[in-house]
Amino acid sequence: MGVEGEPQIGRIGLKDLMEKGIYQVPRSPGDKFTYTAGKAFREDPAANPLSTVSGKLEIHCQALADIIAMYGLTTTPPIAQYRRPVEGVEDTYSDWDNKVKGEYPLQVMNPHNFRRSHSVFDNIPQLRKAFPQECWINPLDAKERGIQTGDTVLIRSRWGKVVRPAYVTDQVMPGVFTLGEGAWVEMDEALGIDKAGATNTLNGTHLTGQGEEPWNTCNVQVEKWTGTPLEPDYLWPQRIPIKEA
Amino acid sequence: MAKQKAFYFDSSACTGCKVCQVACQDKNNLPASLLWRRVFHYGGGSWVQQGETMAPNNLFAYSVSTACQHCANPVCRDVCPTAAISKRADGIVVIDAEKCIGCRYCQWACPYGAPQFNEEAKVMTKCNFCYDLQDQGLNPACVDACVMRCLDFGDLEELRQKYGNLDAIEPLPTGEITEPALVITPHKHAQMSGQGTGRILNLPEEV
Repeated sequence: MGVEGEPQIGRIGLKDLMEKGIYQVPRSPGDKFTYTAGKAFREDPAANPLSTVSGKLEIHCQALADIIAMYGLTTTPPIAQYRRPVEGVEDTYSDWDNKVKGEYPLQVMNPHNFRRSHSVFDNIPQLRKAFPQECWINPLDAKERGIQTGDTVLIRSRWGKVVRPAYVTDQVMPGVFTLGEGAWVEMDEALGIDKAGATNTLNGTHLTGQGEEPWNTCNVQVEKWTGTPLEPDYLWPQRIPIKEA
Repeated sequence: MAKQKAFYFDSSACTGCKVCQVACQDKNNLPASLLWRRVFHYGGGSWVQQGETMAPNNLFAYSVSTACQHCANPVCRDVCPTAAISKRADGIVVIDAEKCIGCRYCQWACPYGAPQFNEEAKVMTKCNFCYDLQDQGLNPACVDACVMRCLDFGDLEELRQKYGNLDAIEPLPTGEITEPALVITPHKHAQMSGQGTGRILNLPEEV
């Protein structure tokens, strides 16, 4: 294996684990692996308070809000309110009052694609075949742009560009556009376009405060790609970052 | 009457995650392009203007996982010029790679897309019901892999008694063509084969 020293004895040999890809810990009812977090607090909250200021679970935690405010960041109010996000629906309009759409009229949603766990296992050809990292567009938006299922489309945001195959479907609302998060970036350096469709390529670097995830709001424009059609990514050479010894 | 091994598929619980497809590829060491089991997404409906917003109008979508139906009337066997395809006593339909000349007639004939051409070996291949696992008393790889427990298998008559007689929903063809050994529990939005108002939603490169 290319290492020195005595091998340790364990549950499963390393080669076996790499071949099978899985080791399942045997469980039985009442075994030592059962753990209930906060058990004492649950059984008697008065006698076993938590280490919060109130001694209870805090859905709004003032102590946490104070720390975040001290850093100069915005905090989440304790009572639910609408707060305008960066690059939300309002930013798809150049004139909100008169409802005139701007340069980036579609809102991107970036769901967790079945093909990966965030970015883990994105490099497996069989998984790429099953889920081609397509983008979803509503038929009404697609028709305006002359886009059909299978067409390669160019997706542009204020921050970056990607190309991907389009999937025209009513499962997404008009005005909304989805692209799964976590693809492994494949930048075409000459064109400055990411062929893999990593949603991070489309996001800007926004500093945000409590409870905000800036990569979840993004505005884009989509058009038919007039360059070389994209090859399905299960046919791309497989990238294996860590090679076996 | 000879026993017939059959698949059961519960479309009402299928999420379209394709674990069944990938588990089959894993077990049989298939390249990415060979799909002995395939998962189709089928759906339809539209969006209509409602005041200032758009509202969904009869929107629906569901998934169907299909491999080989090990048909009672396997047209693949009928058209094979070298008799490479045979039906075992337990109903499982198998391709003998030694006899196959890769003419692809079975691929043309099968209404389910089960026979798949192996580009490297230049022969036809398809789901073999994991008969090697079944012979050891184990389950087919897809049945064990399904996270929603949608897939089951067993004797066709027993499955029919348990789950009913439905053997087709869109986008599968109707059952009278090849008499598939298949029992389906329909999704609540499932459309009957031949009467569908939706369409296959998969990208062409997916299936």
